[in-house]
Amino acid sequence: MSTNASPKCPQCGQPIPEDAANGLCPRCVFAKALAPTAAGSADLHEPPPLEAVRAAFSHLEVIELIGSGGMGAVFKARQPQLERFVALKILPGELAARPGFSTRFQREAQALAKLSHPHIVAVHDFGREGGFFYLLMEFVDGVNLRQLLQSRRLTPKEALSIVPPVCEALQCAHDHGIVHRDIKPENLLIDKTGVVKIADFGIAKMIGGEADAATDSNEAGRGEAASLPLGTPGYAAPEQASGSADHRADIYSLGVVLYEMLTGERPKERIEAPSKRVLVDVRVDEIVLRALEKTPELRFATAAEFRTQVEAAVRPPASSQPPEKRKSGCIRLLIIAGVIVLALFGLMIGIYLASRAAESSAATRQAAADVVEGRTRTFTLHHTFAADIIGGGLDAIIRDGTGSVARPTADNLQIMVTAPADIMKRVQTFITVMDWTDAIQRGPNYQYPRDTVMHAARSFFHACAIEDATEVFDNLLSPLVLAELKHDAGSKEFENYQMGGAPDAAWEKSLRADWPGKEEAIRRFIRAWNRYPVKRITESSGVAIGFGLKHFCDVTFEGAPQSSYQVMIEPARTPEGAQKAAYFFGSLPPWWSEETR
Amino acid sequence: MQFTHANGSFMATCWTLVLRANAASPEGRAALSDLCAAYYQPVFVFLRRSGFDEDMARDHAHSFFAHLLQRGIPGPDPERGRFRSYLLGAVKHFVGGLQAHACRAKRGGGMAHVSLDAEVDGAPALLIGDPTVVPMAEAFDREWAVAVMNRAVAALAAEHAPEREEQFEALRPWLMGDEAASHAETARKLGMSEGAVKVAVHRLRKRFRELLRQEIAQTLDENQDVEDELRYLCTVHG
Repeated sequence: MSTNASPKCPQCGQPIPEDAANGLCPRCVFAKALAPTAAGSADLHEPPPLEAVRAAFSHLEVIELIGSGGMGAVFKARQPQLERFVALKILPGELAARPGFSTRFQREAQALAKLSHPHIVAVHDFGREGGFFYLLMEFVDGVNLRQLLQSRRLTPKEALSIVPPVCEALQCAHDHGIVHRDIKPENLLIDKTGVVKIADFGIAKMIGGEADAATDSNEAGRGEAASLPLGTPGYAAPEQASGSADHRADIYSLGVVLYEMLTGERPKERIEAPSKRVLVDVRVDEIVLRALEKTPELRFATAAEFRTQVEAAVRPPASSQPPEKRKSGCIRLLIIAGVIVLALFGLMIGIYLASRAAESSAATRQAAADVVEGRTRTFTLHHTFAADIIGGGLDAIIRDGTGSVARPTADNLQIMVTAPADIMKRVQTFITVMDWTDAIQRGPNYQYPRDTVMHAARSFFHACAIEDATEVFDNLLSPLVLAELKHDAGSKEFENYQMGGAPDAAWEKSLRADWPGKEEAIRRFIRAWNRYPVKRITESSGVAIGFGLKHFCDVTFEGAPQSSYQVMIEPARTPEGAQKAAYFFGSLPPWWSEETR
Repeated sequence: MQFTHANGSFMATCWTLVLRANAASPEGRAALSDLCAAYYQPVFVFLRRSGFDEDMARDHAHSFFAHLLQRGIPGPDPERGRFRSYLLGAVKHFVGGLQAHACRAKRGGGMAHVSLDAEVDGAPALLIGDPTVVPMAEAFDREWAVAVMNRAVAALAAEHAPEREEQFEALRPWLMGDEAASHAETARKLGMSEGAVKVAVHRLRKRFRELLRQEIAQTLDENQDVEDELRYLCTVHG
C-alpha cells in the first residue's frame, strides 16, 4: 500500500497520495472514469475510411486524413469550384445515435458559422451527409501548437506573442456567448505566415452536451448531465469537472497552455513560477498564476484583460526610472525592469489628494522638494504588486478619510501615496515587519535604508505573488499564526519559541503537521491580502474549541470570496511579544497588558 | 468484505439497506459494518488531522466505529442521502466531543467561555472558521475518494486474478489516462499487438467505470445520483 517518497503521477505529474493503491493517481483515475465519451473511448475512435468519406462527399475532392481524435476526424479536401482547400471535420459516428444531438449540432454549428474572426478557424458549412455529421472549415496550412512545441522549445517572447491573438479571438467568441471549453495546444493552429487560429470552437459542447440541453424536449436531462464535457485533463479548469464552467474556463486553459509554452511542462498542483524555470519578467509569473487561479473569480475577468496584461508585460517599461542595477541581487530582481515607482511620502504633513497632486504643478514641486530634502522614500516595485498589495492595503487605511492614493494612469505610472506620518508609519511597518528580530532590535521608529526596505519588500511581494508563502510564513505571520493551534502555555518548547530562543525543529515540525491545512489557510489569507482591499481589522476575542479564551484579529477584505479571516494573536509574555502586536495593530491593543499581566 | 454487487445482483445499495433497516436488523448491521470497514481510512485521517497521534487516532477510530455500530443510525434525516456526508458529520461531532472533554479535563472543567464581543459591528461570531474546518473536511473527502478508487481497483483486480493478473498489472496505469503509459511498451511487455492493447485498455476502462459507479452507489441512498457523487469526488483532489 504505502510507497516511498510520494511518487508522481505519470499523467498529471502531481504527487500521488500515499494510500492510493498501486500507484494510481485518484485525480486522473476519476477524471478518466468520469469522461466516458469525450476521452474514454477516444482511443478507439477509428476515423472513417477515406473511401467512405469520398463517397459521401462527392462534391468535394477529399484528399487525405490529416488528424483524428476524440472529437472526430479531419480530412483535407478541395472545393473544385471555389478552387480552395478546406478542412472537413467528421464528428464521431456514435454521436448520431444520441438523442438530441442533431438539434444541438445544428444550433452550435449555426452559432459557429456566425463567428467571423481572423484568429478563429472559419466554419463554411455544416450538415449531415451519408450518415456523417460534418463541419466544413477553413483549411489552415501549418502546424498546431503541439507539433510546434514538440519540434522545438519556444522562446518566452514567442510564447507570449501567441497569447494576445488567442485572447482576442476568445473575447470575440465569448461576446457571442460561445465558450471553447477545450483550449489546448492541439487546438491552436499556426499557419505558415505565423498567424494563430483557434480550431474546434464549440465542439466540446456539441459533443458533450450541456446542462441546458436538458431543456430540449426530446431528451432526458439526466442522461445528458452524465456526459458533461470535461475538456482535456490537464487543460480543463477545475470547475469544468462539475460542469459549471463559463468563459473563464477558457482563460484557465489558455493559462495552462502559456505555462507549458514557457516552461515545457504543464503546471503541477503547487505551481512553480515560470520565472523560476526560464528567464521571464515576474510580471509574467503574475499573469500566468492569475490565469491559473482555481477560483474563476480570481482569474482575469475577460480574455481581453488577459491580453492587455500580456501585452503590457512584453512592452518595454514605460517608467522613466532607469532599471536598477544591483549586481549582488539575484537575476530575478534585476528583471523587474518593467517597474514603476511607488513613491511613499512618509513625512508629508496634512492631507493631500494625490490625484490632485499628480495634476497640480505645485504638488509636483513639493514632491520634488521632498526628494531633494530626503523626505521622499522611493520604492521601486512591480506596479501591479504595488497596486494590489500596498495599494490595496493602503486603500483601506486611507479610506478612513485621512489620505489618498493616486492610481497609475497610462502616461503617469507613478503611484503616489500621500498620507499623514502616522499612517505612513503603519505602511512602512508592514514592510519592515518582515524581519521581526531586526525590527525589534532597532525599535519601531527605526527607518531602514532604502535598499533594505526595497529588498525586503520585493522578497515579500514576490513570495506573495508566486504563492510560495514560505518566506512570508516563516518571517511575517508565523509568530502570530503558527503558534495558534497547539498552544500550551506550560510547554517548554512554546516558551522557548516565544522568547525567541533557538527554534526547536522537531517541535516546529509537529506544529505544522498537526494541521496540514494551516499553510494553505495562511496562503489564502496572504492571497486575499494581496488582492483585495482590507475593509477593516478589528480586535476581538473568543473561544476556540479546546483552547480556551483567545484573542483574535478579524481581517475583513472587500470583495474577496472569503471575506473574513481570523488571525489568532498569541499574547507573548515578553516585551518582544508586545512589540510584535504593536507592529501588527499599529499600536498596542488595549487588552494586551491585561493578558500579559 | 464481500459485496453482493460482485455478481451484479444487488437490489438495494448498502447505504439504503442501512437506512431502511435502521441498523437494527441483522442485515442493516452487517451492511453498516461493511461500509464502516471500507471507509475506515478517511475517518482515521480525519482524526490524525484533528491533532491526535497515530495510536490515539487509531484508538479513537475504533471507538468511533464501535459506537456507531452499536448505536446504529437514528431516525430518518434528509442529510443522510450520502454515507460520506453522514460519516463526516458523525466524526466531526465525535472529535468535538473529545476536544471538549480534553478541554474540561485540562482547564478545570465546566467553565463556559463566552465571546466578549460576538457580532459587534456585524462581525461574524467567533469560531475557528474556514481555515480549519474546510481543509479537514477536504482531507476527509480526499481520503474518501482514494478509498472508493482503491475498492473499485481491487474489485477489478479480483476479476482478473489469477490467470490475467499480469495483464491487469500492465494495463493498470491506463486507468489514469493516455499519457500514463505507452501502447508500444505495454504491447511489448504483454506480447500483444498495439491494436489488441488498445482494445484491452478500452475494455478495462469500461469495466472500471462500471465498478466505480457500483462502488459509489453502495454509499448512496437510492434517490441520490451516482454521477453527481462521482463528479464531486472528481473535484476533491483539485
